Amino acid sequence: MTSERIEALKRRRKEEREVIKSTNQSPHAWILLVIILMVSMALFLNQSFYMWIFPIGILLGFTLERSRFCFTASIRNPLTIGTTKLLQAVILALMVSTVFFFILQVQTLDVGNFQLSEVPGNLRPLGWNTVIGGVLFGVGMIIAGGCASGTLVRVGEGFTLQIVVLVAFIAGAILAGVFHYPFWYDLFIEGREAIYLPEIFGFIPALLLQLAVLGILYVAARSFAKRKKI
Amino acid sequence: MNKLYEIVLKTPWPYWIAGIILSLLNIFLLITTGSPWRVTSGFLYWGMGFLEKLGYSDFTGSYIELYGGLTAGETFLLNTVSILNVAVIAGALLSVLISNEFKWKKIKNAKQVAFGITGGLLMGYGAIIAFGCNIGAFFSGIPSFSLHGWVFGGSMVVGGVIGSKILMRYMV
Repeated sequence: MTSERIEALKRRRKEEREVIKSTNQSPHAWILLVIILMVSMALFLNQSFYMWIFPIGILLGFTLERSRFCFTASIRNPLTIGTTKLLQAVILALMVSTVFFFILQVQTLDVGNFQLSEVPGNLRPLGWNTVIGGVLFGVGMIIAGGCASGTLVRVGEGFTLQIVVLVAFIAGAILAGVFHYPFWYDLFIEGREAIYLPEIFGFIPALLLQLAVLGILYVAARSFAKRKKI
Repeated sequence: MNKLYEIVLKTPWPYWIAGIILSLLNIFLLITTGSPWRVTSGFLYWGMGFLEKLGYSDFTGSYIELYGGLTAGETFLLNTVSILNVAVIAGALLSVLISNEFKWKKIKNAKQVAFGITGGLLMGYGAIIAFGCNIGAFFSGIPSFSLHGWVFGGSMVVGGVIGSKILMRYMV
């Protein structure tokens, strides 16, 4: 009887230890790190500036996962549970980026005389397609439970659902970008150019205006959360 | 030292610190590659690579034909944005492995799948016609001082309000 109990205890201990062992995933992390380094090397040999992209992407994914930073939640939370911590962080990040992008643009461009195509950054035409696309995207990210970056992060975290979302995302992109693109192009996009704020307001006023608007949005988000609490 | 390791690698980082790190990485990306962080065009490249594999290669009038994006020597599989997307997945995986949190999370029900597919399709379609997703148009477009970033952001919030209503009505 007693020896049987001891055997049972031993077995249970062993099982417990195995459970603990299986939840220690650092060996896998090391293997992944080695693979990451090897891929970075291979990419570097393929094209030298590729070497930067892979580690930067790793850090982007790592930061997003570690902080649970999520663009979808930054919009969903104020609307559903009334918290704006994440939204404030997104606005703050936009302010910091605005300053960085501004410095780079001013350093790169001949401020008095430049072409839009020379401006470093993402300058794209503005039209009704922006509004329609933005609304569709906003609806999609809320009901799919993740935006473009969020979907990638959740695939990495092991969510099976987000693999399905990713495939649908790709399908939607092909539908619009290959099969329906001539329609949208003829309707709204053709002949339109990007609207670059410094070209309208001047460089310094554009910077100050953008920081002011972001600052107002930040304060508004904070007071919205306070009001919701009461 | 061990404590620092615990804090950096095992506990969640505050949102605002993450926001600043993402901003730094984005400007670094713009300096080193000439293009800020983008996501969706990478998905389009993958999709087009898949279409090519299926034997479909008539891309006349497509987004790629008109706005390019691939530089010499780049393919639908191997290009800046696709590499970045794979790296983001791998970075997130590395993070969960280090904190011993990796687990396959199964799909709970058919409703989730239906919402996921619908949401994914809407995001892909919307991002392409609007020139960018929450990253390319919003997170990189606004700091680029391009007005389309602001209009996209505002429209995305309007979509978010509609989406939240749908979510509250049918999901909960």
